[in-house]
Amino acid sequence: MEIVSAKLRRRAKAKPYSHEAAFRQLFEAAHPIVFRYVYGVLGGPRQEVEDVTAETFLKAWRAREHFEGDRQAAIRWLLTIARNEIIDRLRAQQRGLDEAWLEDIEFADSDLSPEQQLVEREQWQQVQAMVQTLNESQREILVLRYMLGWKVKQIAAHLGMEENTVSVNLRRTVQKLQSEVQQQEGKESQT
Amino acid sequence: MTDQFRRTEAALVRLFKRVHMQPSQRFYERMADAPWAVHSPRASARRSVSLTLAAIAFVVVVLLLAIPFRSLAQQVFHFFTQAETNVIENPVLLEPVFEQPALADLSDMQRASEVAGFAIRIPQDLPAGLQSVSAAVNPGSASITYSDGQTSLIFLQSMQVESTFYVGAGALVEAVLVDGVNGEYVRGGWRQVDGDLVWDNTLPESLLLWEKNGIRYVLLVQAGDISRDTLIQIADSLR
Repeated sequence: MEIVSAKLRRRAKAKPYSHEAAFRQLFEAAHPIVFRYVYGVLGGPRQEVEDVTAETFLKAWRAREHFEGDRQAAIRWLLTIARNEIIDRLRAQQRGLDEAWLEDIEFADSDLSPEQQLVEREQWQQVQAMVQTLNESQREILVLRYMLGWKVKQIAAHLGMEENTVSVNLRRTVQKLQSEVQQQEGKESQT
Repeated sequence: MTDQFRRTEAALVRLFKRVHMQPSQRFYERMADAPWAVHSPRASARRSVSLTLAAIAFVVVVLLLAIPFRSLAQQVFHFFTQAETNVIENPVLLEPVFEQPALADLSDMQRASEVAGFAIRIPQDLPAGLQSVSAAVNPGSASITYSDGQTSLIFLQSMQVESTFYVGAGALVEAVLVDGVNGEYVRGGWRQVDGDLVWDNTLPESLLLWEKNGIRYVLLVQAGDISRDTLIQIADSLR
């Protein structure tokens, strides 16, 4: 009896999401993360983002017997599947990432004043314009760092990059945004 | 330059946090037919919230019903009652009962507050990556679950302020100033060991409780690592 139990425990550790209940838990915990990631990297439209997210989990389900690792590894695995799905779709549609980024976005309810909400909208438009100029890799780093809150070390491990490369990339992206904001403010002060 | 960089970075994080990025109803309807889905994912998420609430209530109920109160209670804080030992032998386990919430959507805050019967408050400042994955509103209470896939944080607000939370003798309850009032914080939780309940300070769980204007607020970390100070920061950002 004890031997059977030990075998089952080893199997569960080796293939943690082979059982549907375990996979269901993974879906419940990870689908907002995958959705946010796809939204950030692909940029929309929302329906396509949902299709990619759904397809990611269906592919993961089909490959679940081959996955081994903890929850963090499972999320990295799902994001890799999602990234490949995005690339395949972009290739099939013969388009790049230069289309309008997150146009149909909504902000959470808040008690910001109308003026503050206007400033927030303007900031968002500046971020949108800047993100559209980023390449796929820069955009992914931005999304992982600021939309998913990953640490530089985690991003580097996930993308197979040096930590320094990720840091430099982030710094350049943020500085680019900074200079765009400053240019915009300069134009406004002239008018 | 570094200060400016950090300010821009902080502004980016704030902006992304405020962006509402969740799948639509259409996505959940589609996923309800996924091979791993027994119930719809939303129903499952609601179920997990309700089961959590029931699990919290369960410890209270078990201790109230199954153990002579006088022999159990050693020290009573405002929100917590500390047991004499760290082990409760053979407690009567009551199965949590799942009930559909009256409302599982907080997109219309006015309506949600009407259902709850009080003004529901939402934290404005959450650790990066944490986002709302489910909500349950019933007359007299509301709960929101936040997750980043590893950390799970449940925020409860309730008009019911009489209940107390039992902790083990070894639990370290701290008095804290939170949301402008006095609150209490404890790290650890009850673990089931061979039919007994054992208090474990090392469990990755923590609770922050306080009351304000007749409403009991609870921030419960069920998994992951959110420090006491971060929990207080979250509580202080409620609006």
